[in-house]
Amino acid sequence: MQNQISNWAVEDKKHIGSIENGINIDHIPCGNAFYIMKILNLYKSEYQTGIGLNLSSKKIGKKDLIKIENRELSAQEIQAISLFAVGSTLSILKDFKVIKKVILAMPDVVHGIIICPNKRCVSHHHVSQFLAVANRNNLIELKCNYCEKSFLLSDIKEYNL
Amino acid sequence: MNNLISIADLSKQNILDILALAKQFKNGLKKRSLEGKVIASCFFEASTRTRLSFESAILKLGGGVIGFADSDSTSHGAKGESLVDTLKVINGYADALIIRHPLDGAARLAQSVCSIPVINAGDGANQHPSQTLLDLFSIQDSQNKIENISIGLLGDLKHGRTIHSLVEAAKFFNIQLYFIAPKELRMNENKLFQLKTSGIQYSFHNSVDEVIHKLDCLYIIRIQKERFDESISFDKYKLNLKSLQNVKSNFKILSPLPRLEELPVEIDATPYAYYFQQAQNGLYIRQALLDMILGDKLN
Ligand SMILES: [Zn+2]
Repeated sequence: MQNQISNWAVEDKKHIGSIENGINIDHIPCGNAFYIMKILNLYKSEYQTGIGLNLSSKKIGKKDLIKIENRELSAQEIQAISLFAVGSTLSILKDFKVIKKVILAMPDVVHGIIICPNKRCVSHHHVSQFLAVANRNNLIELKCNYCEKSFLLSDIKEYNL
Repeated sequence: MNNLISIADLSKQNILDILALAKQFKNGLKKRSLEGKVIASCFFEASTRTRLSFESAILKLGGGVIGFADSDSTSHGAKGESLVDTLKVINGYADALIIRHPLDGAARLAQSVCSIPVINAGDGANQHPSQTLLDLFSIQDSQNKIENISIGLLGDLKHGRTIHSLVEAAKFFNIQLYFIAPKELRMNENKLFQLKTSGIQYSFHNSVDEVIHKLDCLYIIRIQKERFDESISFDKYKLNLKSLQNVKSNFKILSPLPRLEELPVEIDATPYAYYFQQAQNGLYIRQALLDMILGDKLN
């Protein structure tokens, strides 16, 4: 297993080629694979799944990686995982070939997943809703639709998954 | 306009329309546009001025009021009924809801679960849009204009929700802002950045006397001293009769009240004191809001 994981790191291309049908989510920010596993319910699923954590990456230093055989993602699932995979690559494979490749971006709206860091926010009594907005340093912030406060992704510590 | 939740939802024209209608009410306009209608005035947190001015406005427009003045007596407060359930029940009893709640975003939540129009009468530390509108109305009414005005903002600029919505609205009217506050109580960087990108001119000052002669209005927000270290001196941020010697003839002092020692009682007798008229303007602005949001639609 150890050997295989290091193979993924240096030979992603070859490795992706090894999935017949399914998806490959690469360059996931380190530590975020955990959230994606939860969103996609990978703990309980029967899909053959490969998970790489803390792999070295030329592009982002260190990365996580998830590949799932025979799994498709709904638009809703892509939106939900994007929150934890901004800049990651989602590849869809068919017959060992990449038939679609997208760079995941921050979704415009996030329903329910984020627990508002504002303890006085009414969203703790309901389903939260956050909108992505650019802040003064051109960084993406998430603005709570209820309390109207904005947070950097790094300031959000709790999720409802 | 179907609801009033946040100042951020309003356009410049929306604001001007509300101010114009409030002026008509101030000049004696009588209307019975809420006749036969029941308005729920639900204050999950007590607020004398806001509640009484809303309820007076409803009665003057011919409507009826149901509701409560604080949450202790409600099922929500006393029996732990969920806020969403409480709101859904009220939705079935009234033609509109006026809500005050200690949690940030409560009015937006009410809007999302109710089919009747919702008016935000203050949601925690977030928004208090009818207060902002009455502040804008008071600026306009005391100066006979609202564009190109110089306003000093004195006191706690960091925590006051009123002040944050007021400066947000300043972008529509080319209002020049003078911030007079100790460093600890200045507006946060994010807010200042927003002002800058909306083209609002502002400057920082360490005492009232430094700028008072330039101002058309001075808006005073109380400093709750118990929040701060005793070593911070607030003396330079108090108004006194001597400070008023060099003011412009049109100068007016505004305050959302209640006041603390930064606005001494001896100022009340000067021609510059406008804050009690400002409180009264709350009635006209709320008549205008109710008439505009509910009057035509309900009838
Ligand atoms: Zn919130």
